[in-house]
Amino acid sequence: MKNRDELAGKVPPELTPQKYPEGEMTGEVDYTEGQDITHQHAVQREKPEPSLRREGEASLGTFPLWLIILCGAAIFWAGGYLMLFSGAFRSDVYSERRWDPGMFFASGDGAGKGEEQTEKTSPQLGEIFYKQNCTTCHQATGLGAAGQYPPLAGSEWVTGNNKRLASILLHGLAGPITINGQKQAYSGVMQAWGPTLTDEKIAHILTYIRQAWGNSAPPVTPEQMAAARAALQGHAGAMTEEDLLAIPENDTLPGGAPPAGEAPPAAEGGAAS
Amino acid sequence: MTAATLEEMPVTQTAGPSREARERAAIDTSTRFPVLLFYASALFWLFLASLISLITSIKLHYPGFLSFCAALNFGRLVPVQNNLMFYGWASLAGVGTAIWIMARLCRVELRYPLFITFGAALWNLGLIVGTIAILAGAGGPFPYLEFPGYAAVLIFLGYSAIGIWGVVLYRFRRSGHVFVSQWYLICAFFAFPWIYAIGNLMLHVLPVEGAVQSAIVFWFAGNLFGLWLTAIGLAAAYYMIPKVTGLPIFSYHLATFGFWTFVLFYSFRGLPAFLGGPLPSWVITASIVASVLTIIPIATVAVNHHFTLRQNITMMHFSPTLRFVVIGAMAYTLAGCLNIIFSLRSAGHFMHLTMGARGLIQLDLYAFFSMVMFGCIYYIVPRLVGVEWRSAWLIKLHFWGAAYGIGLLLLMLLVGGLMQGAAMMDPGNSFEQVYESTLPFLAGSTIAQVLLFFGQTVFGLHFLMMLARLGRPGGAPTLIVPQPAEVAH
Amino acid sequence: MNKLGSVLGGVFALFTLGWIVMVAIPFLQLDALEPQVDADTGDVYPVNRSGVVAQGRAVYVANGCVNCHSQQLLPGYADTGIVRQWGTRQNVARDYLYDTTMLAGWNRLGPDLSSIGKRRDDAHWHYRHLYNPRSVSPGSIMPPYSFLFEKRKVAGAVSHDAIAIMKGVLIGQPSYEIVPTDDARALVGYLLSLDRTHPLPEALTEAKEEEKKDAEASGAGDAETAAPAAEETSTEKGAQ
Repeated sequence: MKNRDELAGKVPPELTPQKYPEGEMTGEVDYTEGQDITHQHAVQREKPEPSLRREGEASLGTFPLWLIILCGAAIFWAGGYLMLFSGAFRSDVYSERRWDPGMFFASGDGAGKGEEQTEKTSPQLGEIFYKQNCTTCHQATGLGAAGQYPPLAGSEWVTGNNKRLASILLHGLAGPITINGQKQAYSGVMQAWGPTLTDEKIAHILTYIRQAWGNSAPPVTPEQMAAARAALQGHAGAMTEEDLLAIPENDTLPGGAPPAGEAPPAAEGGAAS
Repeated sequence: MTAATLEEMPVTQTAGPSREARERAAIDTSTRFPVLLFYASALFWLFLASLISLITSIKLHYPGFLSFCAALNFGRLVPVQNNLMFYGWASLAGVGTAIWIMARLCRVELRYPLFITFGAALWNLGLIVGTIAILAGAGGPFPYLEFPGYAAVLIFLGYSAIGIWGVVLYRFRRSGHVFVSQWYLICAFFAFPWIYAIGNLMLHVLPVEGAVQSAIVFWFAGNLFGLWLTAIGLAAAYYMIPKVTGLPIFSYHLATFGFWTFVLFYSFRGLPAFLGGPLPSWVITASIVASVLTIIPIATVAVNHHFTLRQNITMMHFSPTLRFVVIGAMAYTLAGCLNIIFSLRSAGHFMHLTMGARGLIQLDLYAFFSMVMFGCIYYIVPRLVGVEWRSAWLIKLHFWGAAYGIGLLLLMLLVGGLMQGAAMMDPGNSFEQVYESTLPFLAGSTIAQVLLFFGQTVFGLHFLMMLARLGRPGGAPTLIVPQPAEVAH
Repeated sequence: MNKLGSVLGGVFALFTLGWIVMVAIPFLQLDALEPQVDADTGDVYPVNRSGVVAQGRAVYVANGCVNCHSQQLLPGYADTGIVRQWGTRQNVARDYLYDTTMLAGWNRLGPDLSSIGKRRDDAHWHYRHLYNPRSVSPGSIMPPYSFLFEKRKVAGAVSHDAIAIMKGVLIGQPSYEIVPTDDARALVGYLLSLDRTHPLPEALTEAKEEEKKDAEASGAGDAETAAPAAEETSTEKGAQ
């Protein structure tokens, strides 16, 4: 097979060895050091450095026709594909096959935007914060996981002394703990939430868990939580069962009106150990 | 440069070697130590990476193999293998080749080679630190970004020394007109630090959260394979094919057009590997469109190479350089076409999340890039050490091991991946049944890894012999099949 | 093409264009996402996980679990994961809203784990599986992770989370139990927390897609499709 230049009767000049014009070299190559060139057979027998056909000389046309057709077809296909499968470039279309052209003109359907919070009571707020922070371990049912995470439903630590409960939330809990008569049934570590959650949030959570799943105990107010944080400030590290029991039964958090008709908090926490 | 200044002037006739030969010898003397250091490190990492690949391939049949300690865990060995193949073997061999080609094409000696040597040392240190970190459990979860930040910084600093020097060579070039390989190398030298820095910054240093991490990860991998590795591979192929055959590149315009479309479309590649994933579909669609449009640069390069080589195709039979490089260039076309086909969702979802995805990567990394690098090493090393390769038999063994090994590996991974994907799409197959249907392909890929490991070890030993100057004295090149002296290159 | 500046400038411009389209614009789009809050139940999804779950995620990353397991379910035409009960719907960006490391994965040598916490909620099963996968999952190719467990003498009563007891060699010698280390506990805690089945409006399920097709076929307007969609959401939740 011959290339087009051969067919046209022209032999490309590049097939003869290159000669580098003297004038192009800016400065002498220093090869007085280094080894004797006569032994560099590989370098001597090399063909010249590769070149492109130079501009202005005879080349194979400005642009091959097949390439122009290929480009045109590719761009046409690309445009069609983008129109069909890009989901109108919206950020909420994840399945490119299920959308309609009307979405190009539709406004966002609000996906991804949080709802407005209407006025909610403390247990309702507590439920929201509980679901944001606690359900991964204690579950939405408050039952935890056997051997892994303690239950909150029916737990004497939840319904009992609110200062002990507050200390668990503020400082975390480490080591074995006995719940509902099961001795040392849970030996994990709960992280301290004091640094990451505000007093209001912890108070709402505690109110929620003390009144959910059949639990019945007085709520905890943000002021009580502030007092707890101040009183327990000196405690370093997580609480252990001994630390919790070291808080006397009748030492509850000051303030906070008990719900109407209920006995004082001190008498509520009767089921401990 | 206009045609007027390129008029041919008579060259002073000197007795003995020509002026050009003396110039080339001086350039080679200046690049000798850094390039040989790059090649030596690259071959060491290749040896290590292929050993680890063999181990992980065995673990796919026998999960209990070497499972007694955490460091030899499959989940830790696979990142080590991938990163060492990419940043160890491929990148270092690529850099060595790039420096040599750039120096030769710019016709300028490499001054202060210690600077680049220092860069190589830092890079190797980064690889060592990163490997130990992954084996100790400090690795990350992102493909090709598993090295922790401190190792990545070392590699980045090592690269900076090298990349700056590469651009300096170009800046102070002596030749007038610029060859296409130099454009590709400039693209590679520029792109690597930006891609590497942005990927590591956005994922390790100032991490973004959530699903956009996947966009960054796949953008990173696609761009690094494209604008760094493929660019160096194409530069090397564009250099070696006309250099060895003595023929000019077929078309300047095709080369220019191919280069700019390459940069444009390869910048958007990567995301089809994440099809159906938790990103808005338009991102993946845009990347698929760009992937399909890469047919333009691929066709351009293929035509350019084919018509350049066509007149002298028989040289492939006896020249080791040309054999490896041309097979690599053909594999580039095949890799490009398969990547295009499997980037479309209708075909791609059969390969997605199967071993076929690994096969497509190996097609790029090994069948294209590594083969081109082997060819370049076969060409360049005799010019740096002054002796020819010792034994044609060792070259043949390496070639058979590499070619049959990669051919078998690709067959197993790609066909196996398609079968695995098709089996998964039938919900009647349980997951265990799907795995069992892939067992023959996994066994085949282990055999392929053995072949590759054997070929590479032979090559490594041959290279060590060259370093010790245990080669044949110069005169004629070591060819796979002996030929008369006129075809010497 | 001979000037360094023109080549560098062109490469820089095209490369930056690619980065803007592939990375910067998706980042801006996804940065504005918020968790889904259901007005009636107060459910928030997803939740920001910390504590033992975050530690477990670090163990997951350190052991390279992402090299074999994916955590993403694709739409039905590309993935049979939903039919295989690996989840209830495809995963979308909001499923990973609070993930500091996104572990969607790229390989399925093992099953998808995006909702494993819902599918296998028994910690003991996970401990036994990690220690010796083939004991609970025959034919599994998962390597054993026995280094995540420690063997120690039984002190008093057997630990409640011991997965195996081995008798001492001689009669009267103490028995040994195999208990999970903190790393194993954290990892299992992380796995148990994985549940991405909560319905999201942008994640089309098969049922929603059918509905949408019906609505389009009957030519209903946007308001009418919104009402059945809301009912569908609540019936799905009721069924769960």
